[in-house]
Amino acid sequence: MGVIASFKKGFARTHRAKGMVFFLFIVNIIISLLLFVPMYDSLKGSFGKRLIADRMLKGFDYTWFLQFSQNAKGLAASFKPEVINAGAFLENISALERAGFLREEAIVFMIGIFYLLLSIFFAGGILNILSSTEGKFSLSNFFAGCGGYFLRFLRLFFLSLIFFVPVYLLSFYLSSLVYMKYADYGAEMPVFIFRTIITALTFFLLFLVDMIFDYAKIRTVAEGSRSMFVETFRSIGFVFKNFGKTLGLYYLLGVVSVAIMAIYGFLTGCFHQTSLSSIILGLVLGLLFILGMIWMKVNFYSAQLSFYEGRR
Amino acid sequence: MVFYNLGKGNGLIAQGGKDMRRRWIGGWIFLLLLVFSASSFASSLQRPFAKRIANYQMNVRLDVEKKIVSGTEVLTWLNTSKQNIGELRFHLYMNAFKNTESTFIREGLRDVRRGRAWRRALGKKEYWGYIDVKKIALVDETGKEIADLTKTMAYIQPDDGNPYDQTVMKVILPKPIAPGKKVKLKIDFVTKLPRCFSRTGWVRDFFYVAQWFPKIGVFYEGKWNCHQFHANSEFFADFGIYDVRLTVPKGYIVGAGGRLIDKKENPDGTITYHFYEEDIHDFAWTAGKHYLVYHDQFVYPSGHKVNLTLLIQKEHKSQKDRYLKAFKAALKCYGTWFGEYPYDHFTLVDPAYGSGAGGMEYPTIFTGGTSLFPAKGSLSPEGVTIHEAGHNWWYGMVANNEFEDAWLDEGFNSYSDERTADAAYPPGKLYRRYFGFPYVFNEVEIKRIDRQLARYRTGAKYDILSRFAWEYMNGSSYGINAYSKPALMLWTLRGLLGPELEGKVMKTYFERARFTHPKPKDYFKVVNDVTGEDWSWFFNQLVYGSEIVDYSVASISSYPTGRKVGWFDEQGKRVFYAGQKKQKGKRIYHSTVLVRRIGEVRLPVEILIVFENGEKVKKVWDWKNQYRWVKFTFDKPVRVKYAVVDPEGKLALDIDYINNSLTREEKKLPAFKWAYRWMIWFSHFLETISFFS
Repeated sequence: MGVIASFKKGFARTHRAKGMVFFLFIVNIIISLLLFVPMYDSLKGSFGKRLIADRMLKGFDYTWFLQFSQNAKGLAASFKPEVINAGAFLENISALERAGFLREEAIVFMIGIFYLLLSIFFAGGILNILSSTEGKFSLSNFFAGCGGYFLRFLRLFFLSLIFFVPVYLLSFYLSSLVYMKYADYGAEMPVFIFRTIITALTFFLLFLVDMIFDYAKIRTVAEGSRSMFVETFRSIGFVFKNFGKTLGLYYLLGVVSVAIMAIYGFLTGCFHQTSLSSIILGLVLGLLFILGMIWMKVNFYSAQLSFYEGRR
Repeated sequence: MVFYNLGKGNGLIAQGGKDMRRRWIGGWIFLLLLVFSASSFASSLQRPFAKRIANYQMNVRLDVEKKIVSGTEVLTWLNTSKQNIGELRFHLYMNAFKNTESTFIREGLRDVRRGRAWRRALGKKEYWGYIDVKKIALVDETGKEIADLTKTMAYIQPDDGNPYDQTVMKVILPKPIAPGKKVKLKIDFVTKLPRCFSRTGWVRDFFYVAQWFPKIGVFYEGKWNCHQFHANSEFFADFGIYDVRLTVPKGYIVGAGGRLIDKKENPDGTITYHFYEEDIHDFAWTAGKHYLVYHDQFVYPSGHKVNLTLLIQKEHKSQKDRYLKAFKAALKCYGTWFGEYPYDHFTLVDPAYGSGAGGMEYPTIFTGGTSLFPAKGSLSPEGVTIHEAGHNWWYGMVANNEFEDAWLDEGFNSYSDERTADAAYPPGKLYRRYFGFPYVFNEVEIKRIDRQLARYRTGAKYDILSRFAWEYMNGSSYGINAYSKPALMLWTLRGLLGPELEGKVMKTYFERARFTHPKPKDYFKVVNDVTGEDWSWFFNQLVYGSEIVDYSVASISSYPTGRKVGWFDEQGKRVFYAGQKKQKGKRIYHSTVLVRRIGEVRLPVEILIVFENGEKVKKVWDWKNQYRWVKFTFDKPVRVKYAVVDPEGKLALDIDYINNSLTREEKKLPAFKWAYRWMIWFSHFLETISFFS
């Protein structure tokens, strides 16, 4: 099966399991809401009974923010104006490239790690549903997959760190090398160009590792294997044997993800959120954006599963 | 080029009869006024602008391979004191870069803010710099040597006694210089330039040459004022004439703090540039291979023209217009508010990447600073351009002692550049760089004063303003007390005096202090003179104290009155009231607004109280006998909606912005709006981190 066919089939598969997408979305939102409440209280406590509230409704009061952020501790310290519009995803994508998650506030980081473990747990359920004959979502099948594959996928996760960590180390090393080499050059352009190349290389390697381990999970489910070492090596073999196509499919899915982000960034920038209705609209757009991201996460699995099945 | 519109209706239009004659006379009066105003600049500022005490003739050569500037300096120094002076003191600033034990490097490496960057910058042998005085001799008017003083040279350390520090040198004269007499010295020197990481030096084929020659100290208040070079300090020097010949290899573009008189090609493949300027107190220059050169002109209403030169790195070519616009904004605003820039040339240098030479001022030349792809709507490179250009007023002309009263130029200039940016540009926008490219958050406007307040808040009580620059607790405190606090203090004074009177204060201070070495008391005197009041209560608290300004609306309440409960003696009878739910007549609310002074500093503060029907009541809480709190009570048919202290934001120094207002009812929607936006970011954060699953 080719890239486009896998892509289409993957979309159809995800569509069939749309209940699962909604379930994953609800889980994400529930976890986010756990922190939304204290964040809301924190902001309300800071400016709810101040005239700053009016300015924060009309726009953003940076004078307030500077004081707030200087005094904020814990979760409140993670509030930043960069959450506006496209900043919401640019911050995170940029953090992905720099391993910036490690610099997040402890509470945010801890919840992130919890969600990562939960995602590892859910990955088994997702693939179990997608690879089932009907492909329809049911909680029992989903959690059967979650439980059935969790330990194996956890082992895969630790194995993936053996690849991810060196990618970051390489990226940091190359960056410092560029800065050192061009420190005395007297022009910024070479630094910029090399830094851009390093960014591209870092993303390429991160995506490659991610793709390999996606196929390792797919193979584990499809083949019912138990040795994660073996599956990792076989996935590497599979990816490199079909390098152009696996990469093409992955990047095609990536382009759709970027398009969703771009659309969200564009749409939220089109209107000012100064009234209840516009704020609700902004919230709905934001939720649709997150739903879109989760839909794409499932799509990555389903399209790659379809591709793997087609090449089996 | 900038020209000022002279206004409409000034033309000499003949209409006949009385009217025509009146207009004709009016026209002549206007013309006379025009001529007067045009000449007023010249008449108010006649050469020499300053007492020319330290006059330098220098002839030096730049060796671009060895990073060495060598040559001769002929210094003519005038004893303007009433004492006989038998010893001269010189700054040898470049020795700060000689080793890790110089006071400058010691202090810098200990500083959290700088330490890491400096350690990295001092890695290699060729990165270090120094200055060697090879010979110093007393010469007569014709230049003939009278006495060789080289053997009398000695390094001294008047500030910290650090024996390794060689940034101040003294020389003993064979015979003291009598008051009003001049002395002429010929000095042969070699300066090895450091890898530039702090104002001066080289990066590849870019040279920014500052603090590079033996520079005489200032004989001031009966003694030498010649401090060592410190990490947290700038400079102090007397005015004079600088007549400098710079020889550099062909292919290098040269800019300097003087007028280019001529340039001559030499047979050895070098070019000698001759720069000359009067009434300046330092001389910096640059040579580089990658500059693009642009010329422009700024014209004051008086007709005074300033030729502008922009030396910009090729990779920043697209930012030429942004640089020049900011350059002119500074000339216009500072010129209008304080006084015209009196020289006829001004050079802006865009330094090389990673040079550490950016954002520094020298007379008639300064460095800006930018990066690739600057964000639209941000004030970069505009902010630094305005600030450093502005230093030619506060430092260049008003030449206070930066070692001892750093705030007097940095604070004044920060305040002035903020006003300029406010006048010339819309508020800056927040931006962040993602993958090297800027993303602008249009919703987030940044006032320049915001950052000053934020910085001040981090260490408001570390020090008092009035301290020597290197004696502040650390680099952060230097930043707070040299820049942020004085700027906020001036904004506060502007708020209290009003723009017109405060504008008059600044203009008067500039006019009195230019081409002198003013001290804080000179500024305080101007404030008192112009306002006709004694403002020592203000400056004593803010310049000589480290307490903070913080006023807060602590509480507001409104409750209905007239609801009687209990026994009341009315008309000779004792009546019991059980409390009625509904009162007859119009309901009256008893409202209370409690305002607290949390900080120790007392300033006059306004309080605005707004009622539900839109009625506004303004109260003033005078600074004299100001207690810790004040309570305002009202009995009105409406409740208080909100109260705000300092509603017009006059007290820029008020450290707590959040507690300045209080509303009776809580608003939840704004918090919801920002909490949900944060939540979307967080939800996406979770999805992004699940990439590793």
